[in-house]
Amino acid sequence: MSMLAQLVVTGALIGSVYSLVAVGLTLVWGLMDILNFAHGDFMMISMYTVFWLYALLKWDPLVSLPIAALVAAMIGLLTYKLVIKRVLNAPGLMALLATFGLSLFIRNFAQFLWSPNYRFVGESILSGNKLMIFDVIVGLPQLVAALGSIGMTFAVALFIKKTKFGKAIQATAQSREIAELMGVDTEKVYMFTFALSGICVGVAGTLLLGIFPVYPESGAMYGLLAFVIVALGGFGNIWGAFYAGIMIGLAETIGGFYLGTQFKYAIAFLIYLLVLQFRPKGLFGW
Amino acid sequence: MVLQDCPHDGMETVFFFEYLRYLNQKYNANIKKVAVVYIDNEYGVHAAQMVKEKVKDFPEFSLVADVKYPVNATNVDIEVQRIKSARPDAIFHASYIGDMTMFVKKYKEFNVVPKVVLSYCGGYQDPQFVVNLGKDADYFSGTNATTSALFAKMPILSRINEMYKAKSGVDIDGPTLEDFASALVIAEAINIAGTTAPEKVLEVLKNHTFDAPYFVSEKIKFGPDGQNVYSASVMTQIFNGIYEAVWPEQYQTHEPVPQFPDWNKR
Repeated sequence: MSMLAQLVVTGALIGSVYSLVAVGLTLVWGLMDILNFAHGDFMMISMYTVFWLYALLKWDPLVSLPIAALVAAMIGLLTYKLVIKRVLNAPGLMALLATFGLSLFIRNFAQFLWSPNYRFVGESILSGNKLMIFDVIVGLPQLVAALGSIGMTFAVALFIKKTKFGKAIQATAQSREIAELMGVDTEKVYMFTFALSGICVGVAGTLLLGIFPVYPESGAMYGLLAFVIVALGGFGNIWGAFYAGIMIGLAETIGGFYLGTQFKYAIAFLIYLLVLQFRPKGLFGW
Repeated sequence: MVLQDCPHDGMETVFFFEYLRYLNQKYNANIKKVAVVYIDNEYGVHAAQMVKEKVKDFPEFSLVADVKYPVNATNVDIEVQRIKSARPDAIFHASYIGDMTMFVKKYKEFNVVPKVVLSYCGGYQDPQFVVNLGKDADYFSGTNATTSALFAKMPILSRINEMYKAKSGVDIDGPTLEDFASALVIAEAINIAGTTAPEKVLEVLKNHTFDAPYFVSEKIKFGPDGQNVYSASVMTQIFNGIYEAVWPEQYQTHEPVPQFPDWNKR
């Protein structure tokens, strides 16, 4: 019983971070129908930002968080301006190929700059600390990563739902033409959404660095899982991504523990394939 | 034909079991249960196959957990929980530096305290292992072609290291020494053959025993399969961030410690 409780807690913590990575992706996907293959690589860049601030200036990752988020936002913004804007009105496949090319470029450029070595933040305020709740062990870095991810997801959802700009994003997602007729500056909406997507993944990357290494491919698996989560939760649905992220985290840990650790991602992908057979727009899509 | 001067997984596995047997006999370590943890690729899967095959030759040990994890894993939480639930005395790791570092962090978090952790040539041998983990790297073990602690015992190795360090700024490590041996062997084979004609050089490589005073085995001889029949390895264990040679005894620079201390007592 205590093992199951441990697995549930672990799965929920892992899933919360997956959710935040997926929220950034679902924003862009929902708004522009663009699949950003470089999404995981934005995360990798934010992780390197945090790592270098730690290695060179001894800044704790939590202190570097705003800078990493800003860097990821700038990369999102530049991606929109230099890549996405040029293919926005082209067939959908063009944007997909453009972001795929961008992903390859970012990974290889990171390898060129920083080598393929795995790098860790050795010491941080949180490292090595843990909580014991009955028999369940909760690592503090993982708990903070999960709580930060949940908090960020709530903040984004609240922003989209409650603010005027958030409503402009929703309007643009429903119909760009009608939103423009209503006076929405859709160019600004697109730019901002890409930046917000970058912030989400930047925060997730920073929070992960206490438990996960950074290397040029470090965003790849997170990016792939984010696609599954977004499709599972429903394209453009922030809460859908959140719930689906938790679900994937739980499936990975509980399924992986009992069926074989080598299958943990296969289980997540199988759930995704099965759900799409019955609900092609995802569990929470409409 | 591929020639290999470093030991293959099968040789390393036998070396691991013999080391465990030595710990049991000399230190009464009472090691019985073994777990193998490995990455799901050719390197890891082959190492695990060797463990399953060779454990039959060492009946005092039993394999209690076989934990395979995916390449590019985002975490190793459930892997460590599976290891913990199997309560192994010894863990054999076939992992790269990133995974290995994540495993150690999780061993600490989930309070996994085995007697011995032995690593195949991979993440443990990377000097970054100690840099990443600091004092948490202590007590981990693995095979190595050399270690800086051996320089005082092996004068020729020490001289090679001086030349290497003058250029690189760091001590020579196991994989680099193996690369050095490869270059030296091929050069000597060409000298003996008196030509660079591939067939003649290959003939020398197949039949000649090469002196290798920089290796603990002191010689290199390729068998019919191209594998160096002499294992050029010592077992090392990390103490205060230094890879010390702990076995075989004639190369020992530090006594092995066959029990991890509690994580909170380091």
